[in-house]
Amino acid sequence: MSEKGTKNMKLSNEVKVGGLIFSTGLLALLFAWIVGVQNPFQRSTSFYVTYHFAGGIEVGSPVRVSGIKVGKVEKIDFFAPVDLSTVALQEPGSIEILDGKAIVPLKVKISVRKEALLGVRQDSRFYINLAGIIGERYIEITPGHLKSPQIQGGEVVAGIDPPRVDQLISQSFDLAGKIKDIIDENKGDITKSIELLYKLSGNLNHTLAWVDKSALFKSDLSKLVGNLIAITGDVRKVSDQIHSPEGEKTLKLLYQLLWRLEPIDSGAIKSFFQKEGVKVQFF
Amino acid sequence: MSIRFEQVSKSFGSKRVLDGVSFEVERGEILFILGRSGMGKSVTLKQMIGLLKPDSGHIYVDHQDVTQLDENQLARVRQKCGMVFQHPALLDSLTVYENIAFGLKTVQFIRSAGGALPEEEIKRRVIEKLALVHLGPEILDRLPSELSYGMQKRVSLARTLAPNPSYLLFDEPTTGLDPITTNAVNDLIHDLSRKLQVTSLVVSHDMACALKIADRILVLDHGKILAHTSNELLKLSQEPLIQDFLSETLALLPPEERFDSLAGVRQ
Amino acid sequence: MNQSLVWVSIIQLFFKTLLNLFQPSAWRRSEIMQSIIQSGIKSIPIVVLSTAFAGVVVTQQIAWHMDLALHDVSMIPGFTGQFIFRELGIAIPALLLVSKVGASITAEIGTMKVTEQIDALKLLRIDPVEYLVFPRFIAGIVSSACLTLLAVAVTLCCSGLVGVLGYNFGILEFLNGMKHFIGVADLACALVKGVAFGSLIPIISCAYGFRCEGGAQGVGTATTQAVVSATVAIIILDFLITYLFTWFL
Repeated sequence: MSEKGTKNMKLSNEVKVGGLIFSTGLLALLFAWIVGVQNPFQRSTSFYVTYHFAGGIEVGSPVRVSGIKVGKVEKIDFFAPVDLSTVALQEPGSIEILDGKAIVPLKVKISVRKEALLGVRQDSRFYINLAGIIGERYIEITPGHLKSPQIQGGEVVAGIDPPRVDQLISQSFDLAGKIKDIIDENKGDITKSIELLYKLSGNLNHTLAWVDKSALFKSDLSKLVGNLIAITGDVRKVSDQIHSPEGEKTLKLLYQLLWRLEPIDSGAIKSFFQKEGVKVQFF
Repeated sequence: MSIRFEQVSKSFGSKRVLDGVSFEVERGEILFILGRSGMGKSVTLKQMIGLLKPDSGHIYVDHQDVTQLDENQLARVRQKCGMVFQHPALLDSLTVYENIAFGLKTVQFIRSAGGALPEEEIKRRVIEKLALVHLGPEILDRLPSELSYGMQKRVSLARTLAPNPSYLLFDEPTTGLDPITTNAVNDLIHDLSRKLQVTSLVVSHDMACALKIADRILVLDHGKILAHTSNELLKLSQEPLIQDFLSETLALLPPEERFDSLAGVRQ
Repeated sequence: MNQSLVWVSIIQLFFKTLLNLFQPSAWRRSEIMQSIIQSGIKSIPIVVLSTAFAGVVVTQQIAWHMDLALHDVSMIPGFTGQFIFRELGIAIPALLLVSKVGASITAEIGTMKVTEQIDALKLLRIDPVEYLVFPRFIAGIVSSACLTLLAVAVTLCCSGLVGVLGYNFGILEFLNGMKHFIGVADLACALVKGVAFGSLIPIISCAYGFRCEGGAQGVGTATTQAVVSATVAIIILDFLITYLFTWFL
């Protein structure tokens, strides 16, 4: 190997290595673009939101303003003392006062990008929501009114607790138990009721058949009215038996439950309970 | 300018290789260390330049205790020493020229020489040292793997000689060489010592060489010094091992020479 | 060989090598380039080949499981992307480097040790760490970082290909799906791991090489031990770095 040959080889080595490093640099830039680095030194502002119950939020969970991801949960403090004025007294008795400060169960530090902070104001609401099929939790901030003061870094505001699924379930158990009690206590009445219902439907059938067959529908109006009266009477009989004090209580509970379910805003559950409610009212 | 071993002991695991060995080498002297394989000959050399640390005892090179030195100070001692290894130990990735010139381009050498040598001077020295080991300049650009074992070994010797060390340590310098080169190497060791006052320690099991060029011979066996005398007196030793060594060697000589070498001593 | 002693010597070697970072004479360009060619560029084909297949397999497996458990394959880009960025695209090139580059380093240094070349270096006043370990160390870091990114890219491409051809994703749809799950932290984590593994492999390999004793058999034993130790070390380090990243980010 001559001196010259050695030199040539060194040069080509350097070209190769240079090529490797250059192409890797390009790859790194491409990845950076894919993962969405706008500016690593992007400035963001942090402030605190208090919760009594945070429904699965963790450090790193996204924060969205008007549905766009603009930040994340930085830190979660437990039983942190905050100024009384910043605490929304949603559930009386759940907040302890110590040395003039309120102890909130959770103080969540979140960071939000500067440009999105414009809409984050004192009257913004801080919901905890669920997204996607794997149920990623995030904090959704609804924009506030422009006349309300903007939130400053380090400020503490009250968040809105997500629905307590655990409480919901325990109340549903309660309700189911009560319905079972009612049925057990009024077994005889219910059997009667069913018999009555059977009779009632028989009457109805009779009436309908008569309506079908009769061309003299208009002239026999009095007969029809008589039948209708009989049906109404039967219905009242059933209804009276269900309208015991226990039944009243159950209805009340159902309404309470419905009211609690409101914040979930799930159409399906709501309409389901509404339907049930209507049926009970019918009796 | 001397080398002194004081009660040096060294063990590898449970095997005691050196057991309280003490000896001294004067400037310009050629000392042969003889002994069977695995009797701590190479270990002795390596300890002298700090490649191995003795378990106990002291080794003085120019009145400096090498057992107490750190790597930086050792580098200064090694600057004065050249060692020819049992294996050629050439750097595989460098050419013959680069291998030999290597020692002339290190920071320590440049510092001790008072500045970097010009490239022509390095080249001149490399060719000069190669000639000493009977090799021509045509192999300068070859890689060690392209040379025969004997040639590699001679290049290794040339590399050791390049920075003009004042101590030369040889670990079986002639093993694997043809008889002509063996003679040349022996003559070289002899000349360096006589003309340039280079101190040489040679580890070998070649008794014939030892008898020919050594000033003194040291025989190691089971970690102890069996004999440490001039080569003339060694021939009178009654130790069975030395007798064996001698008889093996003498058997190779032609009868009249054998007689001469014995008669010379007896008179 | 006493295992705990080996690890002490590995850690020692690591810090000795780090000291050379501040020594201009250690930065020998041509040696480092040569080393990068050996450990990096010559490893490209095997890394590309293995990670390409890994990408296909993993995407199909994840798709199958998602279909089975969720009856929905819309999350494939996100899941595969995250898995590739965090583990697959990083661990595979690292383990390949161990068996390819690490083994050759141990064998090379071990041979130099048993043929006394290391001693010869010391006698030529050359620090073996500076001369032998440092270029390989730098080359290891550069190669591993580059290969990691390359492997991630190749794996993602193949995963995307399976998504587009097999599960009717659009290319942009796939990219977008991935974007939701991969953050800057994942990219940083990939790079940190690449650099960490790249520095670990040469150090472990060299340390075993330096401890080599007793001829060809010794070199063989040392090489085996180096590969085993480096593999285990990489898996443990992988866990530690992932843990630290999820803890801090």
